[in-house]
Amino acid sequence: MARTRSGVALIGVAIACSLSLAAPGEAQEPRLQGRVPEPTRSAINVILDNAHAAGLPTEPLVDRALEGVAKGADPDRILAAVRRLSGELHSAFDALGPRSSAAEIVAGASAIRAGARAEDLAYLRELRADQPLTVATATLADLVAVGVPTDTAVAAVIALAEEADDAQYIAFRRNVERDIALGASPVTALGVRLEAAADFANRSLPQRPRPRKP
Amino acid sequence: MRHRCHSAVVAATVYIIASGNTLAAQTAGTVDFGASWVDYQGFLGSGALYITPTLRYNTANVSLGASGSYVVFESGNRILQGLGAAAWRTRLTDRLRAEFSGSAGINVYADNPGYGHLLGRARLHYDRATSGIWTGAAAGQSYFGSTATTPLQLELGGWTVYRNLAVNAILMRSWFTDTAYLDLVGTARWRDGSFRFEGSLGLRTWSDGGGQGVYGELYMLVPLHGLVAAQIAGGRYPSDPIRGVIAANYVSVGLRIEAFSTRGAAQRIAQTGYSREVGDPEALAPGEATLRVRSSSRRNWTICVAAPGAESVELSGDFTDWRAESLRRTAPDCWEFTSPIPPGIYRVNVRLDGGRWLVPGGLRTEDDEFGGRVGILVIP
Repeated sequence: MARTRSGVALIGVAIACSLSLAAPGEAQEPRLQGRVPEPTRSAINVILDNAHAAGLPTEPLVDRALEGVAKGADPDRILAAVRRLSGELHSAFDALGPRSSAAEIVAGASAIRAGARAEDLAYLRELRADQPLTVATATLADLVAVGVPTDTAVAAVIALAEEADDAQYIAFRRNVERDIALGASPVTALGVRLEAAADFANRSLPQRPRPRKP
Repeated sequence: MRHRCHSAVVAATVYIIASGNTLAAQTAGTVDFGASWVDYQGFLGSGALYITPTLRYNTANVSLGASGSYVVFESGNRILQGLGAAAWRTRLTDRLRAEFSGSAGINVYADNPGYGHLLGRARLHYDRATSGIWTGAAAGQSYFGSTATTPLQLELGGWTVYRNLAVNAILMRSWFTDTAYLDLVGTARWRDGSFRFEGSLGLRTWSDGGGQGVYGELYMLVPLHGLVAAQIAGGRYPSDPIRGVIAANYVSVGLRIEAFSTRGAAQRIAQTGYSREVGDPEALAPGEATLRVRSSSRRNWTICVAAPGAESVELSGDFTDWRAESLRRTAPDCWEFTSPIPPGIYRVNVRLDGGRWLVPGGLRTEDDEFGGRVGILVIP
């Protein structure tokens, strides 16, 4: 019981800190000053403070706001984009765990936007517990973007997870994209390159994506 | 992906284009529909329903053709195809003819990025009364999403006609990016009134990245009543990188309704083998750019933008706080930017000669949420 109370107290402190950080006027992001108009800047600062309190990287949120400004987007659109990215970072952080690097969380958010599920990222984290995930999750997003069905792309990235290093993921993605550009269907290209990866490693694939109906 | 009916339309349209002087003027519209069993490479076999309307117009020297195809698979996924083709022929001497043709098409499967092509072709024919030979070349653009390549194809062919039977053979060498292959295709077509029987046999060989093996198709058109005919087809066709078609085995049964026709007598010479074109790889047109990244030291990365014809190149992205950075020209068509960039995923755009911000080739693109597109750069 004492332990529970202690936990509640800690949560209370955390919330208080969070609220304190979220208060307007605190922790202003200097790069937004003069570039993002009020009251959008204040609203973005609140999102940044909340993200910081939650352990999320704030740099991509600032970047997104600056991108919107550079592209002449209206303030509401900029705020919506920052808010959406914040939600994706939250989801990626929850899936990948607190030990994840900022780059991994950003890559995870990108994969979620591409269609990956949070549980896919969690499984990938489990398989690559001691290896960086940035390139693996970026590969997942890239495969989905070139037309590979999401579940197939997830299965492929997971199939390579235990053996492939970043360079192999990059080569794998490049080869799949090249095959597609040459006319192969995304699923065929993926299957061929997975087969080649398995041959190279002289092992059988743990989870080769099953063919599906067109 | 290609459907047999689409294949037939392509073949027919191109045949018309190729065989000009044997045709009397005609306008024809047909609608094909039916059911197929298709086994695409890399997929499980599936049933499908299709409908293919076609419109053709021919005079002695000009041919126009257009067709569409809509295919629905068991899964509910769909293929939408469209093709337009035009040709002009001119007689140079008694035996020599020149022919210039072009075609454009799209091919979209499910929600995937679509394929498209725009091709021009020139042929020189040497014709006798019942036989002939030709040589030709084709080039153009083939698109997959925002990626464009330039296919190239050289061909040598011959044909002969004996009574109701027409036979032709074609040898095609194709280049597409760093892939090259050779197709040898023979086709026979027999007609008796409205009854038609066709067969083709092909060999893909001398292939570097284009696959190889034997393929062939059979097709039969049987008149039923009035303007209605039955179609039966089956076989295997090879991949067609230009049009985004993957190899498949298939069987197809359907009906053809001749919606209208002002047909004159036309002796047909089968002309297949048009279906594969090839590409030139990395040639960029002025106004286009492609981006590569390389590690230049332990912490620094160099971003190289190839932009032929550009006088200035700027880059803007997450790692520049979205301020435009001018790139340094290091070669006639090459521009570079070096900076310490930590591992991660970054959004980036480039601009040539102060124009609009664009996504260079070599990067995944996504909607930037601000009304444009942005490239995704991965620093490992």
